[in-house]
Amino acid sequence: MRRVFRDDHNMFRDQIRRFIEREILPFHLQWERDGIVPKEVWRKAGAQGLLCCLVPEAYGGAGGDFGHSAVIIEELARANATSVGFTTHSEISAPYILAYGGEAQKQRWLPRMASGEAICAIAMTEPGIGSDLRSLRTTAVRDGDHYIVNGQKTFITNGMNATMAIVAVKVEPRPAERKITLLVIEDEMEGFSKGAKLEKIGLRGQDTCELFFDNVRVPVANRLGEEHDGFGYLMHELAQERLIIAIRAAQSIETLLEETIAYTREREAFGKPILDYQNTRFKLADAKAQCEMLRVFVDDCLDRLLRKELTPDRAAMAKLLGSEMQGRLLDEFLQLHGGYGFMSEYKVSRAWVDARVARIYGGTSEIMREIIARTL
Amino acid sequence: MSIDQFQLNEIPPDADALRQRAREFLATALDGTPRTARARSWSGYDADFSRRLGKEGLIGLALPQVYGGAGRSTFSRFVVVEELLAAGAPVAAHWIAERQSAPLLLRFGTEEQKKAHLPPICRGERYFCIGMSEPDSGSDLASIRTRAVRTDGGWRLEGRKLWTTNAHRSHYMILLARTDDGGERHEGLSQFIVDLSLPGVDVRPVRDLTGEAHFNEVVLDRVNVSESDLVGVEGQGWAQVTAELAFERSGPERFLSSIAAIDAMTDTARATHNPVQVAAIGRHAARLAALRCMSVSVTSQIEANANPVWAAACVKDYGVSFEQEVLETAATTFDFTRREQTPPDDAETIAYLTQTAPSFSLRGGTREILRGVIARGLGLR
Ligand SMILES: Cc1cc2nc3c(=O)[nH]c(=O)nc-3n(C[C@H](O)[C@H](O)[C@H](O)COP(=O)(O)OP(=O)(O)OC[C@H]3O[C@@H](n4cnc5c(N)ncnc54)[C@H](O)[C@@H]3O)c2cc1C
Ligand SMILES: Cc1cc2nc3c(=O)[nH]c(=O)nc-3n(C[C@H](O)[C@H](O)[C@H](O)COP(=O)(O)OP(=O)(O)OC[C@H]3O[C@@H](n4cnc5c(N)ncnc54)[C@H](O)[C@@H]3O)c2cc1C
Repeated sequence: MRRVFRDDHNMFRDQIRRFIEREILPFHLQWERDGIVPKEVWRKAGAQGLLCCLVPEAYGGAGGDFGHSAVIIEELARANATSVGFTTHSEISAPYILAYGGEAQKQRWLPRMASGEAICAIAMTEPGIGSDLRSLRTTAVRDGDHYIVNGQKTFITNGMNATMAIVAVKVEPRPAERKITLLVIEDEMEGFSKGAKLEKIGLRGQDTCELFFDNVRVPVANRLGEEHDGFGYLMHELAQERLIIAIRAAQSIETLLEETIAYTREREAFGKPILDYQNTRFKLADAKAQCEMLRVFVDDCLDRLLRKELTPDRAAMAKLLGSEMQGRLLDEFLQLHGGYGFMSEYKVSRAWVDARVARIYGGTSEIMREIIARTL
Repeated sequence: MSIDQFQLNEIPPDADALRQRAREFLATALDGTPRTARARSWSGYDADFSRRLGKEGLIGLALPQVYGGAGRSTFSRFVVVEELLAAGAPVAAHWIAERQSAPLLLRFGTEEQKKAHLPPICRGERYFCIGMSEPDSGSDLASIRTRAVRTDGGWRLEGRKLWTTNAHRSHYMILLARTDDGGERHEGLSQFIVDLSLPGVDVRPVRDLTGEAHFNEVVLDRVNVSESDLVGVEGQGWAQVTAELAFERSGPERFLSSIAAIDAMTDTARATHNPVQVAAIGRHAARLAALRCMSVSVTSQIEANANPVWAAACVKDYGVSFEQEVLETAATTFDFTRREQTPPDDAETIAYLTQTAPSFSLRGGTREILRGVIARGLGLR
């Protein structure tokens, strides 16, 4: 029994699980082949309350809290449904609009995001800039009621499907000052275009791509919060984004540990189940111990987040440990599956490939160590 | 068994003399081949290349001249294989045929079988695959269920093989099947040469986690072969298979699979002079040198007709761990994600090899099985 969840969270879990079984799992392989999820799925998810569950009902959301978000993240991770970019949309993008958007902006964007009509991406990374965000190069020049935006973003999750993107830019004429501003750029704006889908080794069903801005006129009314204050906003929200990756890692380890136990119990060699060999038992016992420890720590972080007490360094610890542990343990689980572990048909093989990026995105392991080290 | 199985041996000068010729051939043959292609190592398939290599006389170096080989030593083959792998040549087409099937036929095959198969193998024209593993039997090979039943003048084969590398691009399979149920489980197994174009053979590609299909499921549905397709002695399949293992587990392919990553890292370290990267390359070079000595040592035992299964298992276990750790280093000590600093080719090379790495400790006997073999050799079980 996990104390961080309430009854309404647990009931929500059943609903999510059913949705995933019915609307996602049967089609997931096809989406991986296509490299994209049909927009129709987003609308279905919206109708079932999977999108923007932490947005208040007044803005079309489900009025839940991040506990509900955690349930969705865990259930998607349990199914290894890595193609759907719901989390980037609901748990990463929507909170920016909620926290820093004005009333009119919330009314305009959130209901459509909650229903799945609008799909939101968040665009920070550029071809030359990832870890060192403050030196990004996309610029915005003020022209009356508009900004003229020029530049390029890359590795953007939900990029192809996105109807809107929260874009980090630098407002001229002070680009050297390393100050960032957030603008919402919408699909129909002239000069906004998308590059081809990027070929990735994992997360094959995610429509990651580049975004291009060529003299895009963005109304000043599309600015989130204050000019030049964007970096503070990003830093504030990143703790939540990192916890998402840790929650996903903890669930992925737990699920694949169960799979591996079941597999090694079933599979026999030399007259007995693989699980009966001490090497197997000890490897899985180690994994179990680590899995439990991670779970307790991540739940504690989740509890702190719900009480608005999660600090950036703690979130960095969860992301660092979670993603590194996931990489190492999934590797062990794959090995224990023998040749089947290397076949794409098996869950463990796909989860292994998909997990690699957890140590990179949302801030790399090295950057997490930097963040923790600064507090020492 | 003890560590003195690893005597320091040198490659004899006459064998080493082949190195220059192999290098010259490869310099032209592989000119312009990108590192991403070289990264495929012995999974890279190019029948045209195999035929050119055959013409050059670089296949079947250790096979007798009467069968189209060069009649030279195991060391000669070692030198050429080392050069091929170091250069990332696409050797997959003829690889299994030359490494495994040809020595097997030479040792246990009939004169007719040798005459029929060895010359085209040496020409780089005839390709074999290994049909040992099955859906329910991998590590525990003696539990296979594919069977061969006697018919008038031959055998009828029935069963399923899995993970058969390159079956979809091979002409023949060396099949391990059960010919007798009675007796001890290691008895009653036999080997057959199966022409994959025969009626009843169905080869179905299986996707691996990289999304590619190098291995297959091979279904044998009442496939009729003749008496002359039996390899060696009926019921002696287990002993024959075990005799192959030393060939399969000790060669340079068990420590050079990620050489393209080492090359990419070395290029980077040369440019950055980053001391941590330089030190990492140094550490890997030292281990590579030790592994090579071990491999040469096993080669000399094979040359002397010993059956160094234990020492070969040591090479494979240490070698594949090395191959995997190289990629860990690439991830932790090098910045191959930094697009503006890395040639795109190198980033792709690292990504490809990182994805392939789990197979290194599975194929050809898993890490756990090899450690069991090593432990047994030490008298521990
Ligand atoms: C599948 C995927 C989806 C993504 N989705 C999005 C998205 O939706 N929106 C978005 O904005 N971005 C997204 N990203 C980008 C992601 O956040 C960046 O890749 C990540 O922040 C790292 O940046 P980089 O790739 O530029 O690496 P770099 O910053 O170039 O880093 C390269 C290497 O250098 C190391 N390094 C960098 N700085 C230091 C330092 N100070 N000390 C020590 N080591 C250091 C890093 O750890 C890394 O190992 C996504 C990426 C991927 C792969
Ligand atoms: C890329 C690739 C190519 C291949 N090519 C071929 C080919 O061309 N021809 C062919 O015949 N086969 C091929 N194989 C199959 C390969 O030889 C088997 O996958 C391997 O022998 C393991 O068997 P298995 O998959 O049935 O695993 P299992 O035997 O089911 O093993 C599952 C797990 O249990 C462990 N285990 C098993 N027994 C013990 C024990 N006694 N003690 C402790 N742990 C144990 C294993 O190490 C493994 O981790 C290939 C495999 C791969 C991945």
